[in-house]
Amino acid sequence: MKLILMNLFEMFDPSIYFIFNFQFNWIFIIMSLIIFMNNYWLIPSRFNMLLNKFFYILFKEFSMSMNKKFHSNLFIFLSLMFFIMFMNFFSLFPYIFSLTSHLLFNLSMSLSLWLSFFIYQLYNYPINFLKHLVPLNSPKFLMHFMVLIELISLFIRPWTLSIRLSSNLISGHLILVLLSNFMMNFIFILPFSMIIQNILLILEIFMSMIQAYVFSILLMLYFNESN
Amino acid sequence: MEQFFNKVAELIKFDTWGCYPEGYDRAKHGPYDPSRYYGKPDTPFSQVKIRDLPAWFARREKGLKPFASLISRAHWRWQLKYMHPKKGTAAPLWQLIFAGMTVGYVANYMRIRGHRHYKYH
Repeated sequence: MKLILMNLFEMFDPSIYFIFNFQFNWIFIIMSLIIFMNNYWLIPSRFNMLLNKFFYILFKEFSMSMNKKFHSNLFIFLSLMFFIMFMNFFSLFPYIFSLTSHLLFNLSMSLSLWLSFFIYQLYNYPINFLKHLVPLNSPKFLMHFMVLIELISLFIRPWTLSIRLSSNLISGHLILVLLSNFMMNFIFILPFSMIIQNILLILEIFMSMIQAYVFSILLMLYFNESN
Repeated sequence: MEQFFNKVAELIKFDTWGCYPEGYDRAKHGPYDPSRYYGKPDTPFSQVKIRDLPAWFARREKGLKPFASLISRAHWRWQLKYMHPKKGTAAPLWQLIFAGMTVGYVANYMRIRGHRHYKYH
């Protein structure tokens, strides 16, 4: 029996090996710019209506956990979620490069936003920042240690955000590829494995939305904490 | 430094950004259509004879701003045709996805073509 197994991590390679290591695949960033809606007619189209409903529901969801003073700042998180969601969704199709499975891409979103919130808090509410380093009712002999732990948990936040997104995407794509290899090698149980593959694909589609939601809502919570 | 920035602004024609295109006249053309070219009308590209092609290209505006407005007009045409109708379908999504798949396959062909030789590893 012929066993075909491709290099599993090859699909996450941004270079195209056409002219040296030219990383052409980052051009897929513009895909969500093309789908971006402009308002033109007074009566909204179906797409516009869909997006309006989508943003309305999410706005209600997000605004519950945010101070009313900062509601106008929600739009950056909503648009970030929309952007990541579309990048995740498009990358499920064959030959479309999955941008969000790269730390280079995710960190540029999470680190820049988180760092701006962090600097804002340090500059405007330094006492507030410092007193959160020691949790309430912590024993005296643990205090020094607690500061260290709290600092670490503070500084790994952008990293956990981006690693969560990329690891979820990588694992999803890997499972799909492994199952497709399995399908190629054991063709006699094809109907059964096709059902499994479809279920997994539906799961991945939902995961592409959920991970975008998690990313933006956690960033929003960090924003909330900073003021 | 200031001179350098002024040069860059001149190069990208920053003072015309966000304005209507030069040939547009509200009294003559009516409401503004972002997908339409308001310059001097010329033969459409699909109807140019091959022997006239160099002359046709020589007549075109060249530079950053004309190219950007070309892309913008094309994008608007696509959006007005597929996404803005009151009862649109899912066609633009599929078009985008298939275009992305084609670009991805063509761009990564040098890598992908090795796949058929992969065996036992």
